[in-house]
Amino acid sequence: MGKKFDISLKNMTQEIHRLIHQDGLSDLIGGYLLIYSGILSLFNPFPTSELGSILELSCLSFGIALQIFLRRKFVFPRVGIIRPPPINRRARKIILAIMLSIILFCVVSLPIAVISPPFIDTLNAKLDSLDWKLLIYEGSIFIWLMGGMFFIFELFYAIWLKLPRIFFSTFLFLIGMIFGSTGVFMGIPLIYCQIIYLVTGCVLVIIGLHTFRNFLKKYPVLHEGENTIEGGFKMGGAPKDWSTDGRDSDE
Amino acid sequence: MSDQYEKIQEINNLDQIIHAKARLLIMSYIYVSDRADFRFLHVQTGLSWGNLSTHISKLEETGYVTIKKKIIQKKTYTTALITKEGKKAFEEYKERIMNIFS
Repeated sequence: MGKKFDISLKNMTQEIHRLIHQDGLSDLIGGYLLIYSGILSLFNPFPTSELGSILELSCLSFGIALQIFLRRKFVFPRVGIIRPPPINRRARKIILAIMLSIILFCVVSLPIAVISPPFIDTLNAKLDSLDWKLLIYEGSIFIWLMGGMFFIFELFYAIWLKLPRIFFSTFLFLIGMIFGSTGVFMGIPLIYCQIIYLVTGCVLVIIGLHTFRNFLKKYPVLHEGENTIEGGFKMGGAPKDWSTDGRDSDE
Repeated sequence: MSDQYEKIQEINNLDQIIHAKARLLIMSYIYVSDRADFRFLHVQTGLSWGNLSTHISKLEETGYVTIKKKIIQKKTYTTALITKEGKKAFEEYKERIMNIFS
C-alpha cells in the first residue's frame, strides 16, 4: 500500500515541494510568457510607443492572474492550500537579514543622497554621457548572468527534489528568454529570436498541459468532510488499526 | 543499568499528545510548513476527515495549533497553524527521542 510510514522531516519537506510542482502550472505559464513575448515582438502594433509597453505589461499580468485563477479553481480543491516550507531555516534567516540590511541602507542613505545638490549634479552629468548601446549590451550580459545563476539554483533544486522536469523546464525557459531577448546583440537575426521564443514556449506549454492533465487525474476534488480516500494512505503511513475516534490505543 | 532506567524514564516523560502516531504525523507536517491545510493533511496522511478533525482538535485544545477557516470560490478551507508552544513542544519531543536513541 504505497510507501512506508515516514516521519523524516527532510523527506516531508521534499514531499511538499514536489507536490507544489506536480500541477505543471509554472511550466504552462512560463510557456505562455514565451509565446506572448514572441507574438508581441512579431506583431506588436505599437513597438516603440508607451502603448506597446502597456500591452506587454497587461499580457504579463494576465499570465499571473491566470495562474492564480487555475490554482484556486483546480489545485486548491484537490490538494489544499500548500505553502512551500523553507528548505533551510538558517539560510532563510541569513537571506532575510541581508535583504533587510540592503533595504535599510537604501531607506536611510537614498533620501540623504538625493537631497544633496552635488549628487543631483553628478547624476545629470552621468546621464548625459551615457552610451546607451553599451548599456543595452551590458544589460544583456546582466540577463545572462542572472539566468545562469537561476539555472544553477534550479539544477540543485531539481537534484534535491529528484524531479528532472523542473531542470528541463527551467533550461527551456531560460533558452527561450535569453536567446529571444538578447539574441539580436549576439548577431542572431530577429526572426530567429522570435522563432526561439515561440518554439520553446510551445514545448513548455505542451509539457505543462501534460503534467496538469496527470495532476487532475491523480488527485480528485476533495470536499472537507467527505471521505474520498479509500482506506489507503498516500504516505503508505497510517495503518488501518489506527484509531478513528481521536483516541490512541497506547494512551 | 541506571542509564537504561533513565532512558525508560525519558520514554515516560515524552509528550503523549505528540507521541500518538497520527498526531505525530500531523504535527510533523505542520511543523515543517508552519501551517497546513486540512485537504493537504488528508491527502498526505490518509487519515479520514473525522479522525483528522479529532486529532487536530486535541492539538488545538493543548494549544499546539490554532485553526483558521477561509472561503475561496464557495469552498471552505481549514488551516492548522503551529503555535510557539507547539513548535517548542515538538522540538523538545524531537530532542528527547534523539536522546533515547543516542
